[in-house]
Amino acid sequence: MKTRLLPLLTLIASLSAPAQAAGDQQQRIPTVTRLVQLFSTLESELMAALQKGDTTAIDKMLADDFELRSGAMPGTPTPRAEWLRRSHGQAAAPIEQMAVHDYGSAAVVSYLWKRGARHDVFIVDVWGKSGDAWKLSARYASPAGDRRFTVPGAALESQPSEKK
Amino acid sequence: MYFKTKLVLLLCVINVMFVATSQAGVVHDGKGKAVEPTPRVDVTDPVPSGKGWGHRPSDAARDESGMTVESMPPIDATELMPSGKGWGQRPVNGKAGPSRTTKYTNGINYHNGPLILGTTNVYYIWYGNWSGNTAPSILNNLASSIGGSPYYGINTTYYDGQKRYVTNAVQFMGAATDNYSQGAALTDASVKTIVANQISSGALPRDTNAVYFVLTSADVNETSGFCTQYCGWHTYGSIAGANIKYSFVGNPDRCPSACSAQTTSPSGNAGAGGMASVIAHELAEAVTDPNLNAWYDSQGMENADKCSWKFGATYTTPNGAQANMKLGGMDYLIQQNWVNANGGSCTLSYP
Repeated sequence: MKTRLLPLLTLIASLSAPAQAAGDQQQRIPTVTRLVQLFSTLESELMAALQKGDTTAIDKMLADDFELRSGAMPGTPTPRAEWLRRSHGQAAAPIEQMAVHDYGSAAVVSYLWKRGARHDVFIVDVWGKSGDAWKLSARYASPAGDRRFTVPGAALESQPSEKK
Repeated sequence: MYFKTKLVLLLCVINVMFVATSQAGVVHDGKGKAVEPTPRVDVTDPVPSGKGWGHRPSDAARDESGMTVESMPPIDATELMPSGKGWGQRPVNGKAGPSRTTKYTNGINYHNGPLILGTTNVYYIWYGNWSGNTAPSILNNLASSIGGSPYYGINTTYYDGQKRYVTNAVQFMGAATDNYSQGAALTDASVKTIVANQISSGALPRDTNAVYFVLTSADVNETSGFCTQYCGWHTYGSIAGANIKYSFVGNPDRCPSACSAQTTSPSGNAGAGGMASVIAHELAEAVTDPNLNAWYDSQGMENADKCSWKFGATYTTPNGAQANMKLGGMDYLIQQNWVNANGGSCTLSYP
């Protein structure tokens, strides 16, 4: 019995490896920038509005021509209406490791959307400034967390130092 | 059939164990040790309201803070490490967890690590080109006068496992300069090298009760995320055989929209004005969480993190800039800090 189970247990252990690798980065909360704070709030508010189906709030934060492009089908965008329909009621999940590149009237916001083991998503959002308000123009998303997939040029071997 | 049934049951049990482990937030460094999970903005968890669990801020009432100090183990910075979940973890074979259940009431938790006690010494290292810039006079004044202020008094609500409190005393011990010894694109490692070089050369003393600030000019980048993720950070490291606490604070003139609160500062130097707030932020955190294993909340946020970019009541200075405190005769706009009393809140002064 034990002999027959051993290969099975080994297989299960190997399957669990990617999930562990996904959490390799150490916790670091340095002094966040104003923009990280701002877009953390906006992303959270948008997520909450989507969850509740609050169209008034969504319209304030989402551009009319918004589209989602995912890594699985880069050439086939999900249009605004379809994305809204599929996002309604979706459970909220934490946002981590946000970075914001500010280009004046546009901001590129990247982060890890922690949806649970093997479901984490790396998101790149493009926000456009309209007057004093920011609206999400486009979202690029792809599964995240497996360091075994090598991105050309990425310095994945360099571990961030522990700092806050 | 019987064997198949048992096999399915076994698989279910293993699967449940794996999922539970993954979702518990215990992550690993790939070497079998538990490390902290990554920082998070949890949209499901509100920021602590600071309501409802008020305690008297007096020394006598500090005993009522809710922490059972008597039940705590001896301080051992190497014994536990932060999990980012509100308790220390033991890095043993990936199995880690809270050493006890401890009740806190002020929205921030103690994790058994040491604090900087007594007078905290401050050293500056001016890195890059600061010639003709008024920042040195503005920021030297800050370091010379923040100790003893009502603002720094907020840090006196923090204590270690022996109930020894942070004191409201800071001494600016001096500064050194570094003319781009590590170039204009720094890494985390090169920031440490900058500090180490100053100590090993004797330009600055080796001081374990101090925080060394590496202050970079606007033409210098820190490539691990300055301007896009952070405006500053603090950490610790072994330098010249001692545990040295140090911090990086960049010049916000490089990215005003990210790291400056206003385009005109009370001193007329927006970059220095922005740096003043970040220095105060890092100093408060370095004192209450010098080894990253003392005071932070369940989200991994240290005291000043909980109040980032919140300034409280402000007033208008003669040049039109906003300020919220006067230190050493100069106006500053400094972010609030988290008081570890009265249920916890962001504030500008204590008591």
